Amino acid sequence: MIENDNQSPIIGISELTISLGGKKILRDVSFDVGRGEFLCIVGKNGAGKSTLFKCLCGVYKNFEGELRLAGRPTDAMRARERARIVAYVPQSAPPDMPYTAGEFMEMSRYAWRNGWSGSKSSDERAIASAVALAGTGEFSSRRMCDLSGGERQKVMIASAIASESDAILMDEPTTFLDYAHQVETMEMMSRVNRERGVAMLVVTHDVNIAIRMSGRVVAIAGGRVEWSGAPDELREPARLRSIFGVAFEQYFPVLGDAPPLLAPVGF
Amino acid sequence: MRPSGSEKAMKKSYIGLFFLASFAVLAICPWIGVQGISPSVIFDAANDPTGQEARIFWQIRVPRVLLAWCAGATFGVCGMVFQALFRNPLAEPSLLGVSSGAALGAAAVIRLGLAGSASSSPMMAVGAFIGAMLTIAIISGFSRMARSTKDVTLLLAGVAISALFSSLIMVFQYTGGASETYKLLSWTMGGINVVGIEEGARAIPSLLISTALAVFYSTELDLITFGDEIASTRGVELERTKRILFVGMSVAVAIVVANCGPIAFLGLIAPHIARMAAGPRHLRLTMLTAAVGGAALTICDTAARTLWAPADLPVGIIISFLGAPFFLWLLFGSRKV
Repeated sequence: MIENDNQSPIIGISELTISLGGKKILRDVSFDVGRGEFLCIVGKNGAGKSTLFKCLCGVYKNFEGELRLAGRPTDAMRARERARIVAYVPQSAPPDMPYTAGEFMEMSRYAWRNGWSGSKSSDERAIASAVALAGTGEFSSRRMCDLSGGERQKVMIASAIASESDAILMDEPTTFLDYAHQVETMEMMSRVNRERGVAMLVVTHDVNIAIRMSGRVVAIAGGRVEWSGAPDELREPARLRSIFGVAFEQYFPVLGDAPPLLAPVGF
Repeated sequence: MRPSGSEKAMKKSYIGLFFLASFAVLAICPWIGVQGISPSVIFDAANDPTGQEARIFWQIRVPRVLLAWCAGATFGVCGMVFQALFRNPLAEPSLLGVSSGAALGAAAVIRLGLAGSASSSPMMAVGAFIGAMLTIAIISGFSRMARSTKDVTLLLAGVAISALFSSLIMVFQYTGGASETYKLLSWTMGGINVVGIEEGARAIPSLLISTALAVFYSTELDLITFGDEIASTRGVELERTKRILFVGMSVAVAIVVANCGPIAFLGLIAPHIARMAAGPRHLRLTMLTAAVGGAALTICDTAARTLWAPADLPVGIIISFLGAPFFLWLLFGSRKV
């Protein structure tokens, strides 16, 4: 196996263009995700964020331009090698999975196994520490279809952690969660990022999450990179309007010095 | 981490029971029929293979039961694989149009007079394979065009293709000569009529192909049910795995359809029954699905040849008669299987 070099960004996207059904979904998208970086992608529905993820996951391969993971182009990459670099967490886990959470965690180690060799001690260690971090130990023997949406989402994140990839791709991870699970999920994301140095690439609708959590924001509109920069620069009213197609206002807390929250006008 | 020991042991014993029952069916059904058979025929095969009882037993009943078991197991395993690939509990070879594609191919061979006089010929298997592959190509072409692997879309496309192919088969039936038409008619209703152990063994390759692939790719099938993105980023070679499984299952279905006709519902029922006992993991599920599918078709075929004896009903009628209500129960009765 070729060793991944440690200097290149973990995800390198250059001039990525893809058409689906004759319609251009992404045009010349270029940006990098550095090792251990926390990067949020924001944009309207239909801006092309999910398509970008499908390219990164290896589901769509008919794109132009180049995708590099850990410095190596993805077209020559085997799925197992890809899986050791990126792991995907869906917006919401399929609700009807009859596997137990423990069984799913075991499957998450697929990329580290060769064919028929059973689970090794390294697999068990990776699973145990992911389960400890995500706090999903109590679900292990429960079927995933019997868990609540929030619990399932935690198991999905635990699975991504257990896969020991260098980066985790998250597609609107908090959209379907109640407030308690949203907060928990966000804490988990930043812990994985800080404590394990796992790069996070998170698609979100929520400007406040993007500003609070990320080190850098990429805004996609109409299939292009509309803007990218530091999270605080996102507060610029004209910028927000052009990205989201609606005007925003800032709301300052009455007490304390927490950063202001953003909400669209008329919200 | 894992299901507790006792739970696991219970599942294991369940599975053992299923297997035992399935092999019991395989062992008992040859003895059932209009003509009573004395147990001594087991030894007659070597000593006196020309005796009437021995001939009925070894040349007709055993081959028929063997073919029925292997064909049923194959339909079951193929259904299970399609259900995982399409992430839909309703997917199965006949609903997806793969069976009717295979049937159309085989029917074309009969209609063109290439089949010869045997109940089934290698040419029919070739025709069936071409038909099955054509269907897979059309369905995946549609799904790419619609740029959705929305499972419902694919299933509906399969239903439409199925209807189209069935109508073409009927055209063959109506425009053919009397003997071809009769042959086509009885074959499309699904019937297991074989003479001689050689014909009875014809579905063994299809069973081996489908089961071996399903077992070999069992973890991949588990992961694929979680969606393309998850499967791919946990390390599954999506395109290659799906292609191999589609082609392999189509070959298996084609062989079986060429020999027994398109038998509906079995690919739907067998995996669902098996899932209740084996759980979702595809390694265990494959084995159990084969056992259930094999037993189900063997029992139905035994019923088909004894209930209205001496008339020999096409087994497809019995399967559909029992399968349709089960299908409805599945749709409306239980959401979580």
